[in-house]
Amino acid sequence: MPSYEICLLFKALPKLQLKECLKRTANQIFESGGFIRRIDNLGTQSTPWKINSHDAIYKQASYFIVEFDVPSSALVSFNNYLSRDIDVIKRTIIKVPENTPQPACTLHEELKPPAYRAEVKEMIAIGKRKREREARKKVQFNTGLDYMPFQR
Amino acid sequence: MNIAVSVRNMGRFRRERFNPWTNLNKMLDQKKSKVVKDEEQTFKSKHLVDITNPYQKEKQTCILCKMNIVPDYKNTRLLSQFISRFTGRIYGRHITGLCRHKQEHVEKEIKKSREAGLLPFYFRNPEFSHDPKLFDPDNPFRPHSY
Repeated sequence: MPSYEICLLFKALPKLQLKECLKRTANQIFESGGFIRRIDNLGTQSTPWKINSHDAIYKQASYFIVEFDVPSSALVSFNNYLSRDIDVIKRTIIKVPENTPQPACTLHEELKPPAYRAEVKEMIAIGKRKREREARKKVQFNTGLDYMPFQR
Repeated sequence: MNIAVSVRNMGRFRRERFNPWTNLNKMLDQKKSKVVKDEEQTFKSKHLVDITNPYQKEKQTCILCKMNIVPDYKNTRLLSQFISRFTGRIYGRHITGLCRHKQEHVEKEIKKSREAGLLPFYFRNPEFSHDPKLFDPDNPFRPHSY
């Protein structure tokens, strides 16, 4: 089961109702055969724009981030369930990135003058190859004469 | 007189000549080592010094690589440092001075966080307007055609 993260925007509700909303979503995860790793409460904030959902405009929302594991086949139905929940303004399911080592910084190579950059060198090589190919296509009259006898 | 003494005397007087009793290979080895020593001496002269280029510039690293920061879509305060205060547009690589990979990563995370409803599209959160500036948009790191 892959790990997912969901950013949930609930309506700005009183605490008890908010608890009910969270319980509902958590139960939905458990029913689809998953488990929850973490729940973060980012608090009630004003949204960056007026969000229109379920025929109403919202300027305030309570933000929650839930990290959970669920079989990938159950994800579509879970998203569908949330879309029908009236208290959910917005939800975004994102796959948790794997903890891969970051590649080394290449800024030093990028700041070099163009002639020393590897990508520019490669570009020049491609152009050179193309020119050579075109030169090969051109017909050469191997007459041994340094003038064209019929073009005067 | 003892025989051993006479042999020692021979060695003393004929040091430089070829002596059939001495080990030839050993002598050759000694000669080689002498030559090597001479070469070393010439190498150590103060005019032919093999050192690294003193004018080579120090290797530059971008600020996120230096601090070992992985941009995340939840960290809106960090991400909003890379967008314009007035238009909400993401600054380019020539302004931010990030390496290619980190710039792409930051752009991806900003878009992700906008989709999630954490970051505005058309402006920067006024709460973050007095955050320290990582770069100056008026003086880009590299020239750009526009």
